[in-house]
This record gives sequence, C-alpha cells and structure tokens, in this order.
Amino acid sequence: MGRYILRRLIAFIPTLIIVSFLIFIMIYLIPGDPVSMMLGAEASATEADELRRQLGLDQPFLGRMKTWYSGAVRGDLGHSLFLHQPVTSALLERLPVTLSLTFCALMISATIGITAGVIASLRQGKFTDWGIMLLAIIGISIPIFWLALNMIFLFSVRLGWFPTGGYSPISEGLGSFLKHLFLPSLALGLAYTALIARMSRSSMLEVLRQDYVRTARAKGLRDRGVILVHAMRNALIPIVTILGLTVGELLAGSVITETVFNLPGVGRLVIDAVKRRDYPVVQGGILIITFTYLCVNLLVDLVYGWIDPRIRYS
Amino acid sequence: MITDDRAVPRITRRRLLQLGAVGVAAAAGSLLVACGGESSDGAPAANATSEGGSTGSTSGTTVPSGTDGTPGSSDSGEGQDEQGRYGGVFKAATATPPPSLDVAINVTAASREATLFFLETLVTYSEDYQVIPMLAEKWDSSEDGTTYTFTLREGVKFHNGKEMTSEDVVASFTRFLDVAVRKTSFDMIESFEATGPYTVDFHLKYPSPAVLDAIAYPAGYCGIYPAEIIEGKGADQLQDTDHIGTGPYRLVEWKPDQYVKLQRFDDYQPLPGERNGLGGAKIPYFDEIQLIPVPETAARIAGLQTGEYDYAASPATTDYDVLNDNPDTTPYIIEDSTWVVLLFNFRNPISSNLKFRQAVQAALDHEALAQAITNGRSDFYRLQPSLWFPVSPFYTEIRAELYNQNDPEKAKQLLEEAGYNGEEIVLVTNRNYDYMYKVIVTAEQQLKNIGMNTRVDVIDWPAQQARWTEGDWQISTTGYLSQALFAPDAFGAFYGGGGGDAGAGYNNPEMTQAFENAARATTLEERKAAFVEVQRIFYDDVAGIKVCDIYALTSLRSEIKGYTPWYNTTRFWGCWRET
Repeated sequence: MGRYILRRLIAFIPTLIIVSFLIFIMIYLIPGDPVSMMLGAEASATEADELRRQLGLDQPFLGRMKTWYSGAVRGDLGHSLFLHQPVTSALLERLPVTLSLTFCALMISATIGITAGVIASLRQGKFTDWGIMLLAIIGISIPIFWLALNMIFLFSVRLGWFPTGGYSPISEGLGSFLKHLFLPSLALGLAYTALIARMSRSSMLEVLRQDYVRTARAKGLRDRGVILVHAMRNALIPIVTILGLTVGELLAGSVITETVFNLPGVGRLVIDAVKRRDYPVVQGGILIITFTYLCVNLLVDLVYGWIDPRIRYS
Repeated sequence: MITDDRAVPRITRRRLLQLGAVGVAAAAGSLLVACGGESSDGAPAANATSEGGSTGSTSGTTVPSGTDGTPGSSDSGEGQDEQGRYGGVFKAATATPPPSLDVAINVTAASREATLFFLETLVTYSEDYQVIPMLAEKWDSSEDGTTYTFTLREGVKFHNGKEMTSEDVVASFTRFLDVAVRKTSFDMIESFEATGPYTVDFHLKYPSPAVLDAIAYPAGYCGIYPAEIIEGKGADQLQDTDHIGTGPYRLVEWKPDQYVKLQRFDDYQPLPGERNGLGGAKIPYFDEIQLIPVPETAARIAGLQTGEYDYAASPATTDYDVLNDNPDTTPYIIEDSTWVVLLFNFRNPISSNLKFRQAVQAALDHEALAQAITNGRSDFYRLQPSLWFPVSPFYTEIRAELYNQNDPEKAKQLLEEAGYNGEEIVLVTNRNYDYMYKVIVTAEQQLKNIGMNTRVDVIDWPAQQARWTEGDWQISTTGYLSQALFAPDAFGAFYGGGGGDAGAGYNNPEMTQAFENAARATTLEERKAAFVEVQRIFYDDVAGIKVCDIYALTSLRSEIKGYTPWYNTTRFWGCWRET
C-alpha cells in the first residue's frame, strides 16, 4: 500500500508539470497585463514599458518560464504582483477557506444525495421516486449563482438567520465558523446533491436486482439489514467515484460561491488574479487546485480497496 | 464467499464505515444547529460624545426627498457640531479591492478611496472643485508665475508622532516624481527645494497654474510621507508599515482582497470650518473604518439591508427603488459621475478615416443608448454635449449641434463618401463594466441600420485595454470621471499626447497644442478658452463620441448621518452613527 501511494505521488509530478505548462501558455496568450490595471488607460507606452521592466514582464516567454519552474521546484511559486506577499503564503492563507467550504459542501451533498438516492431506489416508480428525481433534475439545472443569491435573499435578508457573506475562522468559534459557511456550502452542495442522488439511485437499483440480495431476503434478513449491510456496500463504489469527481466540481464551483458570499478562498483569489493579470497567483492557484484534486483522486482509489477488499493495490 | 473474504477485517472496516456515516450526519447536523446560533456580527455601539465638526455643501448630488434627517439633508454645514457622535465601527462594502496602496504608481479608484483616509496632499479640491489648501496653509506665486511657494501648516503630526516639515514634502515629491505614473502631468516642474522648515519652493519651467491641479488631483497623487520612510523607495516598494501619513485615520492592517482596516488618529487636528471636498474639517467620528471588498453587487446590497454593512458601493439602478422604500437604507444619486465615450482606433485605416467617424457620429441616437445603459431609467442619465460636467468651470456647449444627431440618412451619405464597402467593423467591449457592454451592443444595432457590417468582440477589461494598442478593431468604449470635473488636463494623455502612444493612437497636433495652451495658461479665462478649443476639435475631428453622462448610485444605512456623496468617492470623515 505504501509503495502504491508513493508511486502515485510520483506520478503527480508529470501531471503538475503539464498543467502548469498549459497554464503558462494560456496566460501568455491572453491579452492584457497587470501594468494596464495599475496604470490605467491614460499612461503612455513609455510609462507602461518602464513598469513592465520593473516587474520583469519584459522578459521573453522562455525566460519567464525558466524562472518560474526553477522557483517552483524549490517550493517558491513566485511573488504576487499585487498582494505584496509570496504566492505560496497567499495560497496557504486562503486554502483553509476553500477546503472548509468544499468539505462542508461535500458533506451536505453526500448526506442528502445518498439518502435521497437510496430512498428513491426503494420506492422505484412511485411518487417518492418521481418527486426525488424531479427535484434532482431541478437541482442540476439551477445555476449556483442564482441559487446562492436567492438563498442570501431568503435566509439572510428576509429571515436574518445567516450573515450575507464573509468568513469567520474556526479559531473565532465553531458556531460562527459554521454559521458563515452554511449558506455557501448549501448553495454549492445542493447542485451536486442532485448528481449524487441520481447516481445512488441507479447504483442501488442495480444491486437490489442481484441474486445475492434476493437470497438474503429469502433467508429472512430484515430489509434494513439487506439494504444497509449488503446492498449499500456494493452500491458504494460508483457512488464514491462520483464523490471523488464531485470534489473536483466543488473546487471549481467554489470560485463562484466564494465570489458571491465574499469568502477569501483560493477560488476568489484566482478569479481576482485573472481579472488583474496577476500571473504568478493564477499559476500557483491553479497548481494548488490541481494538486488537491489529484490527492482526492488518490484518496478515492484507496477508499475503493477499503470498501471492497477484493481490490488489491499493486 | 463474500462474508468469508471479509472475516478478518470486517468489524473494523464496518465500524469505521458506520462511524464515517455518523460523522457525515453529525457534520451536517452541526451545520444545521449552528443556524440557530446567535449573531456574530454587529458594530460596537457609538458613544454619545459630542464634538466639533462641520460639513460642506452638496454639489452635483441628489438626496431622495421625504427622508427627514438623511445624511444629505443634515449635511448643510449647520448643526453637525451638536449632532456628531464619536465611536463605533463603520463597515463599508466596496466594489473592488485596492490593487495597491502605493498611489504614486496606481491610479485606480479603489486605491484612491482607501488611501485618502490616511494620506493628505499639499493642496486638494473643494466641494465645488476648486484647489484649496490642505497640508499647505497657503501658496504664493512669484510675479513671473514660475515659482510657487507653499507655506506648510505647523504642528501637523504624522501617525508616528513626528511633525511634518518641508523636509518630508521634498522627500515625498522626489520619490513621487521618480516613480509616478502621472509624472507627465508634472512636466512644468523644474525643481523644488525646502527654503525653511515650513516652506517649499516649486520652480517651474514656464508659468503654469496647472501645477496646483496636478498636485491636487486625487488619483495617482503625491501623498506626504515622513522623509525617513519615503526616501529611496522605488516603485511599489512601500511596505504596509510604511503607509504613515497625516490623515484623520491611520492604516492598521491591509489584507489584500479582504479588508483595509483604519483607526482614528487621535492626534489629528482638523482644519477649522466645514468639510469641504477632500479638504476642510475632516472629523474622524468612527473609532474604526473597515473597507471590505464585496465584488457581487447583490451581496453588497443584501449586507446593507441586514445591517452587516453600513455602506454599499455602486448599487444597480434597479436597486434604487428597493433601497429608497426601505426605511433602514438610503440611496444617493451622484450626478457628476461618469461620461461614456465611444473610442475610435486611429491605428486602423477604416476608423482613422474622418468621414467614417463622422458617419458614426451622425448615426447615433444617444437617447436610446442612454436608455439601454440605465435600464430605461431617465432619471439616471443626462444628455449634454460638453466634455465637462455643468459644475465645471470649463463646461461649454461649443459644437452642440454635432451631438446626438440621430440622422441615419446623413450617416449613410457620409459612409458612402468614406468609401466604405461593407468591410467588417469590429466593436470591442467587455462585461466587467455593464455600461460599456450595453452601449456597444446598442450602438452596434444602430450602425447596422445604416448599412455597416458589424461584429462585437466581448473580452475582459484588461484584454480590452491591451487591444487598444492593436490595429484590428474600429470602435471601442470607456468612461471618464475626474477629467470631466477638475482635471481637464488628464484628457490630454488620451487625446493630446502628441506621440499618439497612449490610448487608441489619436494624434492631432492641433489638439496637442490646445492642451499645451491650457497647461501654460495663467488665468482661468485663458484655460477655459484652451479647453473650449479642445472640445471644438474633439467634435470636428471626431476624436471620440461623447454618448451621455450617467449617474452613479451609492447607499448607506439610514442611521449613518453626516454623509454627502461627492466625486464618486468614499468620504466617511464627518460621518457618525445616530443611535
């Protein structure tokens, strides 16, 4: 197992190199630079060139890439052009926000999604099944942005239950932390709840039709035992796959959620960095998100073996 | 059998899986439990201490009627001495975070708004956009107009406790003129020197009262720092702890993209009299001011409605009625806000053709464009031809007949004379600024109607700015603010640069000369004459097309008193919370 994990971690390296290379090219090709954001349209070309030189933006593509990669292998992702701090520390400062949001959203979508999916599978063809699947389709169709704004309007403005946005670190109290995170997590999680519910339903339906389930029932086992112990376990593998993929979607979705709810996370940092062409932050931010996603995928693979011991790592 | 396979590890994994499931449920449950918890927000209550202070008059702003005791109506310059209350935390939801607090190298509004709380200039602008003293007590010019002597106020303290002297002014200007992005606006300065502990002489290459405007202009400005801090600092080399000024608030913490925290500077000595533009009496009533960037407009407004924020920047025009109907919130209209312009690409053969530009000028229905920008709200725009707002001393109606022609037949004729042969006309805009998007999309339709083969390229704002230097487009857009109020020379960077290397490549020696004349004018009349000439050339040569003035909105909690919107900027000194 240890050797397997090590091998997978080493396999991350080419992936990260390829991703960062692609990002580098994209950033290079996108028109606009931080100088125009700093100086405005009134600056002359001479003034703009002078600032570009000071910021090192006048270096050729290969020179910039070499500088960045040589720093990255030492763990130095460069210095933000706007934040006055190293990219690594800016990202580490914001990573807990994004991870907290993603984790809470995943908890919400997994809890509601799996429960709804299982119930729908047990009531296949009935009103409950139909109702859950209808809600799931609506859930998939609603944009996070729209849902988030309406949640703010209902739960914050109308009912006053939650703050409209902002982040309260866990060090300032668990209650405040969860209160600030609940609406963003719900808005983000609900969209993916629908996907998990649909996958859970189809996976459970497939398992429930298998012979061993019929045998278990014939032996006189109670329905609860059959479903939770025997059927659920085998249905979990595709669900865990979807959960792993969902983490990637949640990380991507956090960009929108963090913007609407004013959460100082990595997603919003990257968006702001793209808007003002803060190249090192864009590069570092996407690299961190990619790395997190790769780690989650590794975790999912390890969970497979945990759920089904027949799966062996070699 | 499956059960046999599981025999050894069964209990452990099952229990762990069960524990995992319980954990999932518990986490979700705890989130739900937290919903009913007590509020974590709320600003500290204000103290009921009365203190002196006053305000200036409103200019170019409208306060909704029927709101007794609103900030606008209370800001008449009378009675604030008795009303102002010290204390409390003021939370302002701003639209964008400042990209830098080094305003020498950054001209953005967000940087200006954040720094004007803790930095001050030698001179500044009054409520009616005239240059008035700030850190300088007065200025005198020599008979030939080539030397300006600034006499500094004595006893002005920096936030580090040191007294400000001429040495600090010289050090600040030395560094500023070395790194500033607006250094071309200071071209008239030959040298400057401290001639005493409280006097500084600025020697000019030629007589130019415009030096006062250059110093007072609050974007990309020269704030006065202690000499020992500012000396030798290159562009963007100022650390957070270096931002020590003389303003009514001192910078406590800047967390980029998250907040700017400011605390009252207890040793601040406000000027006597009333608050006056960016000068006059600046009374820091609040103990603390937090500028919190909230990029999403709807979230800012929601936060204002719930009381999480005391101020929400830039509501949409569609929010106005909601905010006005809510007794807890007060919207303000800032009339002198922005004017919208259509730019031409002078590096492109089609749009550098005067007849083509005249065709566009003749075709446009400005009323329809303005309606599109403001979602049909006629009370949020003004159609007027001048490059300067009516409040400006340079306002002129010259060439008004060329404004808002809405004459498609004339446009078609001019297009034919231009030799236009159905080439694709590319209009470039962005969605970062809603008005820029709407004006281009609506203008495109009007240009189609006169027979143009058009295409709209929607990119983001930085990309659009970068595209201006390319030759592959014909029409684009932007907006002007300060230039139309008190910095008419700033238009020169875009239209009168001479070298044509700024903006969209406009290069007309006649226009350059007009800006030069304005810079060298020694009287207001001469300056006005020069700017009248600028506007005449702007229309005759169709250097751009002025579309309309659009008003800005801002909003506060109704319990905040003493606020007057002015120059589209945050100015929370002189404001307090009514308990």
